[in-house]
Amino acid sequence: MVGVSERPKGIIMRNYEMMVIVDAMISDDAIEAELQGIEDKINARAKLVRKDDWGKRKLAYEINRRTHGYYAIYYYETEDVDLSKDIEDEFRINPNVIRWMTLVDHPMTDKEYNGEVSEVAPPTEDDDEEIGD
Amino acid sequence: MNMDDRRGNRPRRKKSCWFTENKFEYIDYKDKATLNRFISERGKIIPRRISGTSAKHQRMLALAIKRARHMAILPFVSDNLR
Repeated sequence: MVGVSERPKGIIMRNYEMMVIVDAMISDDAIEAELQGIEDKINARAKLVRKDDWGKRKLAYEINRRTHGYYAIYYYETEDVDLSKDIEDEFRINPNVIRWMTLVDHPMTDKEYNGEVSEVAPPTEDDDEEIGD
Repeated sequence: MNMDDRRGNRPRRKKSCWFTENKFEYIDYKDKATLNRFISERGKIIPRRISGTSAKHQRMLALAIKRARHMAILPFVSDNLR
């Protein structure tokens, strides 16, 4: 057993952000099972900080004839550099997972972005001309 | 015909970077609403010569748009013009 104090030098705790698109054409139970499976794999070797569920969304383009996907984002922190690779290896052979992306130390926001709206007002042509009187 | 217009001698209004004005420290690929304003109808990234985005933000923006495309949040090619 390697305790925290015996941790070898050079190993750093990193934050990961993994976005996964699961095929939305399969049954709700199957989607749930896939997501739970991913969550369990993360929990086994890392600390899951947050999980965002975007639900079913239309894909911007077809991927393998799929038009809709179920989006989920996992935020976790771990020192285990192989974890993300191991999970992705499983995605690669899993036909129900259609896309994934893992980012390391990507700044995490409180915003969920699952809607189409942004809090900041859109830029307008005459933004800088209205500061009259 | 006005020679000045043809030569493009019209005084141009200075463009300003929308991200700098709104104090963006980084641009998130998940923020579809924001990214949408910086892509053309065809789905192309709008050049900073047109949008006025600062170089730093344009780099972040381009990366964010490419990530969003990979995750099918944004299209590679938008064909709703047809």
